[in-house]
Amino acid sequence: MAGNLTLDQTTRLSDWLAAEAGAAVTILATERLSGGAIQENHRLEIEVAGGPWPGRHDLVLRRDAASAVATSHSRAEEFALLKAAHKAGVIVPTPCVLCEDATVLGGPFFLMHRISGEARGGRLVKAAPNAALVRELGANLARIHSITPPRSDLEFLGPPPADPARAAVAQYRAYLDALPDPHPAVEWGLAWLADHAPAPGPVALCHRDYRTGNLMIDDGKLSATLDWEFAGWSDPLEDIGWFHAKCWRFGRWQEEAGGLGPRNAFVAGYADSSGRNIDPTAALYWEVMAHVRWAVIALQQAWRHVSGEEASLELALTAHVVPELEAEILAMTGDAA
Amino acid sequence: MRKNPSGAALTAIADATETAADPAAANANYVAAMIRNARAIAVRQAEAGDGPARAEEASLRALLGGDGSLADLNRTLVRAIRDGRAPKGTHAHLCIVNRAELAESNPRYLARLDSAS
Repeated sequence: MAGNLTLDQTTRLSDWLAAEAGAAVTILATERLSGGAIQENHRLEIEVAGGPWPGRHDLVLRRDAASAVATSHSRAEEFALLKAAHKAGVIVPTPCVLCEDATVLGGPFFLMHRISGEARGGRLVKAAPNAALVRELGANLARIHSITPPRSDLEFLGPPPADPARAAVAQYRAYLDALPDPHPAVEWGLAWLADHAPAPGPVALCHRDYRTGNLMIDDGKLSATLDWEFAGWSDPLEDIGWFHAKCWRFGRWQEEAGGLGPRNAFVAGYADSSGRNIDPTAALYWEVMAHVRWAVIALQQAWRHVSGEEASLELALTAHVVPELEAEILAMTGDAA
Repeated sequence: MRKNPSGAALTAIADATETAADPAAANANYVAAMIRNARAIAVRQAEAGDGPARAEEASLRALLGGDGSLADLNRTLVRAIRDGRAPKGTHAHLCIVNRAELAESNPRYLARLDSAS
């Protein structure tokens, strides 16, 4: 189903939208947006002739790409996550409607408001350090973490893990075992994580990819939290560690909050919004976890190329990011795994 | 141990990507940068030859007191680490191997680490 929308699809989409809106809908423009190896995004500009949503709307249509992977959430699940986040005050594109009728576009899709801004990490870290933005990012993450189980609308996330840290270690070991080559430096990191695992605490909804690159910034302010496909129940510190990990600072190492600004601003924003202070030692544990997790994912991605599943230079090069991650793992864990 | 794909395989996918690349595409600069990066890694690996692998193998033999191929020795080390019986000197060994890999995959990163320490 990948690619630009065909004329037939546009017609069917227009008819479906008209039924949803209770009024005639004219599709003024469609455009495939760049990026999205797992999901495909199309800009959609429509005019609704009446009903509850009259007028022009600038939207994004999100559907599976050809290379969608089984581990990410379905469009219906992502739509449910967006709705839950939006209701909790998280800055996300407003979710509009979900279509699970495959006769319209060949598979499920949903519409959300189009948000302007810049998400590319390499560009964002070139701006001056922005403590106010980073503080806002901390507060925004705290609002995500205000969503706690049980939630009937998020039942698809499964039961929350009893011990998120040890569950992650077990999962990443299993992932490494499925790869043909041995990776002792990553294994060293996992041994350290197993030995230093914190006692399990309260679990919350975690974005699990909350980092520079997945946050849309417009005029120095957060305009959208993107890419919810890996969200799940976990220790909130997992998101905090992932956000601060050196590997997601896009080379601007000194700005510890995602390469965008100072760590203390993020911590203050998080505390203001949640009433909880971040334990720096516990956060450091999850920064080690972040590097290990990214290393395991990178090795899996490279294997997709090496195994012949998907020939891709981008996937092939991902293997050569791993030594950087291993260097950080070895530096953070020291000689005492 | 070098990550896969390495050397010739990396060059092959870089060549195939270049052949198929659309110079007018919006991401043409990004693709060109990836091609340059892949070729640069392959060149650095060719220049280093099998020296890093031989050094790693010798270090593993000394560390583990055993014999076998580089991959098998690394598998033995992985099992030892996971079982909590990593021999003394494992961290130092891993750091040396990591520096050799970084020298091939991203020497600028290695230089930056060195200048920061």
